[in-house]
Amino acid sequence: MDDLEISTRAYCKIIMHCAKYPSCNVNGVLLTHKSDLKNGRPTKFCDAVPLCHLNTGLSLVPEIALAQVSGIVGAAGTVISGFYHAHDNLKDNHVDVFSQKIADKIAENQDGAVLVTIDSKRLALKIQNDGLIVRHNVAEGAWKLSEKKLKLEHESITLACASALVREGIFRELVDFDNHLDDITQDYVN
Amino acid sequence: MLQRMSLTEVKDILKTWREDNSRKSDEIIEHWEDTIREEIDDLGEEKWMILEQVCVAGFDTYRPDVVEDTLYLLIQQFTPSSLRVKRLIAMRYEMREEWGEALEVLDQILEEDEANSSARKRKIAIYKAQGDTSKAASELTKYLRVFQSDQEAWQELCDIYIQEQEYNKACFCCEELLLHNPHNHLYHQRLGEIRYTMGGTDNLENAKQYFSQAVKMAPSNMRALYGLLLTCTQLATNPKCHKKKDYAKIVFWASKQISARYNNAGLTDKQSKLPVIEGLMSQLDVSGK
Repeated sequence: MDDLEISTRAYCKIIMHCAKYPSCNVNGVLLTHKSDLKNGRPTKFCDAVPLCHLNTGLSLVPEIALAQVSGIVGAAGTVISGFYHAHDNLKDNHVDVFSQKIADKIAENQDGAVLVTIDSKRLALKIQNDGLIVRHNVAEGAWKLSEKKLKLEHESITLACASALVREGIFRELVDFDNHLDDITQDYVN
Repeated sequence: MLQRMSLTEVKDILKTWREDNSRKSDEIIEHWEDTIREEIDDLGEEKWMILEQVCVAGFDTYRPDVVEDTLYLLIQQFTPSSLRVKRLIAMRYEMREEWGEALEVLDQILEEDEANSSARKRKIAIYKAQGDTSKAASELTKYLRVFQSDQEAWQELCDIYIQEQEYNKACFCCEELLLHNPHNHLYHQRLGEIRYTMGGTDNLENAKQYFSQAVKMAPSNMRALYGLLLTCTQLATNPKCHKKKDYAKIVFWASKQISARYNNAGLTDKQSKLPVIEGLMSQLDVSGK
């Protein structure tokens, strides 16, 4: 069974997004280069686009965001291949209805899309393991834990990189789509 | 790393954050370590408020060392019988996730002072942290029957209902906020978003009105502009719609506003924005005006 890979860039952006808004639910999408699609399914996630941290239960902003991101990725040769989310509550790992609906929408347009939940308990100042729970779509509205392993592009170096970004406070410069709506000069593609 | 600032500058920033109720806990801790800790005695009248602020920031960022330093000084000054200090002691238990002990201390505060709203709110925060959102919601509702003008509480309840997908109740909370702040475009926009999420022609009509109001008050509110665009597009593409032309006009206007904003911001090279609007406009054409 092929493993899935997530690039350092994508992983670090996800961790930075979580670090910037530790008391909010956050979410975003994962991108894959068209060339990394095997049998139409993604094998490698090259980038992540952070979307929301405010009012994550309302549908307006994710709709606008997905429409805009779809527009960008077409031109850049990538596709939206996954969705990540994290809860404000440390112990919460469940997939809430809202995240699942967005992930369903992504899966409709892209075979083999993944839904990644960030396990907050496993994150630390010095990150030891990736803290990601990966799920695949098995049926309409049903997401099961993935049998494929998701590995980091450069393993421990990726983890060290993410830890450093948090430690140095660089995560504050990350822009998500909500920030963009507040000030459109800010670029959420980072 | 934040630049080293003078004590006066740090005091001013902390004062602003206190007044705005901003949650900048990690930055507060950095200021504490860089500047304040060495110069505590020069803080003047604001000393105790700043110590309290740093203490709460310590709870938020899980820094038991900072908590011990600040709480020690506060207890020395005000003794543990002070209700405000007691609340901090309860929050220290919360930090350690010793929920039982925290609730006990908060109950003690409420025995002495039934109307102590901050203790009641801490209890609700504990229920939320434990994951018991329904209990948090019911306690918050009880609280609001007494303290009807506590806007922070209405906002929190609104957020809880949105997460639980009880959109009707969330609307009610947001409407209460609007009653208190009829000129705040953000509440109009938030109500519009809730109605939009609920879906259905009546709710979309309602959403359109709220978004319009928000845009009238704050022409630069991007969420309201997009909200107007998406709401009217959905209304116009509804086969049973009778006012297609009116909705189409609004969609056209909103899309021009959005494009103008992007142009003004110097983002004309971002071809990405236009396909969104073009896509929506073409939906209108297909459905026939």
